Amino acid sequence: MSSLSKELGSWRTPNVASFAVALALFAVSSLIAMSGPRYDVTLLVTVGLSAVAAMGLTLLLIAGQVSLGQAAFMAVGAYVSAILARDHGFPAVLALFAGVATSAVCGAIVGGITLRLKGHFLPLATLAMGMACSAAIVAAGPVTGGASGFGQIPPLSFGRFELVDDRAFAIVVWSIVAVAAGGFSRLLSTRTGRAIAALKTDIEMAGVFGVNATRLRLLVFVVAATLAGLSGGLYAFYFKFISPAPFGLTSSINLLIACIFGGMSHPFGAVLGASAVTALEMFLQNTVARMLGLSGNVEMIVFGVVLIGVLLRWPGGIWSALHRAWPVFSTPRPARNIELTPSKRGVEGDDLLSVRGIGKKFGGLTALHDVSFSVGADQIVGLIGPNGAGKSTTFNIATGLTEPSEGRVRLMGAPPPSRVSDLVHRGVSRTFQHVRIIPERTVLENVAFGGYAQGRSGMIAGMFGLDQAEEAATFAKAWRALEIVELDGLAHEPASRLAMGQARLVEVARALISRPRLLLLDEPAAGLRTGEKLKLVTLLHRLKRAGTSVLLVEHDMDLVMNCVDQVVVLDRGHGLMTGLPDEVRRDERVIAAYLGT
Amino acid sequence: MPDLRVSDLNVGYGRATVIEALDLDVKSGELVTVLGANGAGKSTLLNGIMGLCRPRAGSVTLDGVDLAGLRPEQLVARGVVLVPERRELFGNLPVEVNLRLGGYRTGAPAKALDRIYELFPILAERRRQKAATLSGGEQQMLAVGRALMAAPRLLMLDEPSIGLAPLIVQEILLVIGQLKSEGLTIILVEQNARLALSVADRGYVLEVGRIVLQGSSAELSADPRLSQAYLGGASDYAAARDQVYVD
Amino acid sequence: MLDTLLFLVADGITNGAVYGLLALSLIVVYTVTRVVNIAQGEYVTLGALSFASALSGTFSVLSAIVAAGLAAFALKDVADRRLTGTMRVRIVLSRALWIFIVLATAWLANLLPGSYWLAVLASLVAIASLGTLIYRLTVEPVSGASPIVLLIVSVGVYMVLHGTAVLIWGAEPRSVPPVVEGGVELGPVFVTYQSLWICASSLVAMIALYLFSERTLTGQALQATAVNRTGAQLCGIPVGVAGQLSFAIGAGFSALSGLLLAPLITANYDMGLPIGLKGFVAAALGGIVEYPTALVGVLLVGLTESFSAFQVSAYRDVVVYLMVIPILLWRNAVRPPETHGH
Repeated sequence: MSSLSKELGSWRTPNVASFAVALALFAVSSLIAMSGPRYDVTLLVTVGLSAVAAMGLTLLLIAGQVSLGQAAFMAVGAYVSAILARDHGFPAVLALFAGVATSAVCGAIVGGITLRLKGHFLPLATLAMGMACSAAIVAAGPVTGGASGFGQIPPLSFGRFELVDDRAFAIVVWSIVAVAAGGFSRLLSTRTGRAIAALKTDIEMAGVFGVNATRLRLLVFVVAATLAGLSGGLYAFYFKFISPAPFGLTSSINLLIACIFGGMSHPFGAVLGASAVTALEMFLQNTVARMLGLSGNVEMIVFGVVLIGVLLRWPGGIWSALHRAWPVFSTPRPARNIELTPSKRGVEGDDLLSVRGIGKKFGGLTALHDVSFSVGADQIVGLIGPNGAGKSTTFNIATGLTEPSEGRVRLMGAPPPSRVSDLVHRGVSRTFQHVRIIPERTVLENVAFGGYAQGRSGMIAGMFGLDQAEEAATFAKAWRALEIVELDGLAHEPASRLAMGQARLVEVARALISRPRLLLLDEPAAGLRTGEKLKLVTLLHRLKRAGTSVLLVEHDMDLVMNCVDQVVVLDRGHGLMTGLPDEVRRDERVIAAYLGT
Repeated sequence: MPDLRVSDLNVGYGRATVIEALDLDVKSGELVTVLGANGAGKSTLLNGIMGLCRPRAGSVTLDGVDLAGLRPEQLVARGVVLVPERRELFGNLPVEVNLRLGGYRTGAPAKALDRIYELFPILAERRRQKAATLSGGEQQMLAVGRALMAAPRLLMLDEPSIGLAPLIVQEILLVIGQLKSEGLTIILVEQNARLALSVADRGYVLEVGRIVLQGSSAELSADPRLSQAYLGGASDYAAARDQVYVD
Repeated sequence: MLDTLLFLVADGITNGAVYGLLALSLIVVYTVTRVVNIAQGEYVTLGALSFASALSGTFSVLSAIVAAGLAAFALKDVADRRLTGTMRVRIVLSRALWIFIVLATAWLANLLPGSYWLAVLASLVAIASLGTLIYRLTVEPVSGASPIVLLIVSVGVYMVLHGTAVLIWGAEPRSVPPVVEGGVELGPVFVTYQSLWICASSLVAMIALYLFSERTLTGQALQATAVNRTGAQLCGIPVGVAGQLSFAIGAGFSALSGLLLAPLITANYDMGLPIGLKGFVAAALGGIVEYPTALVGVLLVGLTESFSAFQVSAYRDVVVYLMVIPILLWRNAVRPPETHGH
């Protein structure tokens, strides 16, 4: 399929990449800090502070949330630190800590309130919140100095050591940048990182695999606010003067532009983006403005044009263009293969899925009535019926997504679990009607995400490398799953480049990683070409042979009739018949149901 | 009255390919029906012709003029009108406004509106009611009426019988028959094959994106392969299945 | 006590009238194009500033820019190879007429400084036309994108328009004389004629929009595009033109509110965003789709503003901005905005 089926050297892991990134950032910045002219050092600090805040915003964007108020959290960090340090005698470091903590708390509050907002309501809420913050700072003049600003902020000191040297400050700032960038870079390739990416792609899908979307979103929001608060606090202690101006809407927009430049998908991109924005700003101020004798408004116009242009032309940001040249850092294939045999649950001989007399009413409408069938061990069952027959409803009832109005469902001998993510623990896995994989991640990472519910490591473990054993196990299983569906050659391909048939097989692999005994496939052949369907049929029978049963809903009659052991036909909400493919195909009632009368 | 020719058409959404290498033509004054099970690609075909979905390959020509790249509103100006599966009515606007908007391009004279009320008397009764308050069958009639206000030369209907009671379906079919007798060229996409073949001159049967059968409606009705197209019968997959158990 | 109350109410209603025009602008634009236009307030600024210029007889750079933009698009449209000869002629003639109107009104206003109605006409024509240009440049190319992308693009437009306003008119605020000086006693309250003029004009504009939307086929076509874009296309309604029209109406209404407001608060480059945001609060109350509820919202915002200016003055703006959050939460629960599909 592509030239990327090369084997990775064992050193090309995300750990190495993150560490290298962090080290490089620190090295370059230290060089500039120590040997560059004074002006450049200030610039370096500015870029570094921007980068910290931008990294927080990038994390939010990766989770699919757009914030137009990131600078407001910087303001909180800046003002709280400054006020406590100057007017309340707090030691500077403590004041900084308090400032960051306050930002975090504000992040939690704002995040909690705005969690449920969908679509463009979230950016609007953050926009309003940001403007309220600026207005509040101005209004609280006596405490904050209002529009004229707050000055004479004491320097940042650790005990008796005062950080007054610009160069030293720059190194401190960039150490933070390096650690944050390295940590987040690593985080993104681990369990929590995959979950964050899944949030953006499809919250429902993420939930099915066990992600607590609410908690994770809140966590990301708090982290973003914390980073912004840290940036703001350091800003206060460096420039020793703050006002509402650098923390207003324009700054929030500039941060967003930096992230968009950087590609919205990686902390490294945020650093690049922050540098690019600052460079552009410098260029405009020095060159263009002087040439045309114009003031800072040209800047605004140009930034606006650039923002519009980039969004129109490259929705993926500049980083996505660079990304193609960036080598792949991913988990290499393990030397030893593990087996993904279906876990043996339930007593032998019992039905894995049993549906008796189920019915479903939606308001006054009876969607289903008296439908019964079962799926036993080592069986492939197909669920068919004309449009509107009730296949999706039946499917959702079987997996516990919908409650039946009447009747009984037994999944592995017990009623369907109340939480969809518990399906995995029962040895049951399902796929979706529309492909729901994470386009920005590699095929291997997408499959690995299927193991989320069985993992444990969180954000801290992910950032600082405490999850090596668990990740190794997860990826070993992912490799094996890919081998089963014969797509291991595509492991390091970005999922967005897959053809439909391959994407569907990746979804199956993702479902296999939890070693299910029963696999529920929702229209697995939709949109596939003939060759891809042949592969699907072969795969399903290999799974059956290895001990996994399959229930599939499908429209492609050729495929169903030649693939399944048993056919269940629905028509207008009730079961028409159950039988062998040949019987069903010849049955008068079935023909009438499909062809009409 | 136009001749429509579809050549080697390939239409898909995102990664998925829905119809492949499709050839079809409709002569002036004919009523051609496109049949097939759900998911066969019938709606996609009409959407591709109508410009709602850009084809990836192939061409659609009307009287020899290539329709590629034209937007739906431009096609309406050329007399190609679609009654979509979901009807796409303006729910909160009254019936009469819906109809008048159908005639937006043609600058509908009052006569055209009267004609629609003649065909569908129930719409005249409900002319001031909001479209969303109408029953399913009435909404379908409104959708057809709105399409007719555009004075089409080629009318395409996507599953007009879906979800409707048999009596209403009969009514609508009568109207379609009447339009045909007045010389309107019609493409009728339907899942209910028997019904469609009872009014059509010719038919094409789609199965998973390809034409597997075509002929006059008499030929198709009698053809045993018709039910195969809906319920499967080819044996390609048997080999793929059996090879797993060989060892 | 009653005096103060009535005064605040009168003040609130006047503010509300202005925000009402803004809210309507946002609603028309959003319903037809799905763009939450962060830049809407900038049309207020541009309206006020170009009105001030036209009134004082200075040459209108903005009108010239707009005319140039229209000409550029006209050339692009005429170059379409699929057009027949007659269609080409029609396009050339109609665009030429449009450009002529933009330039002629600006020139006349230039020639006759102090003429109120000419200045109004010149600025409204120019800004409404600007709206269509912005639509064609920044919305039409990405019409399939998610509302978030459209929103961020509108942020970019905000930046461009804001910078342009300062570039053309500088940072100095311009004072604009009211339509008629003086006022009248209504019971215990003194109401300026300008305030009455604002309320009356807003009311007339809203009624005109209502009649247009409900009674004319074009207006109904606009509504139809907002309700069901696909359905509108299938009726042969040119949805691109509908988008341009909605932007023109939005820009025009906002410009109107700007030139009405100018005598009260002086025209300056920074007036746009706060007004835009407050108009948004009002519109959000109606979920950005319903006119009647938006008008309630508008009154609410106007009244809140005057009352909190009175009670808590410094925190007035904070209160108004924070009002957005509960409104959004409520609206989100009632009818959440579409998330871009999988």
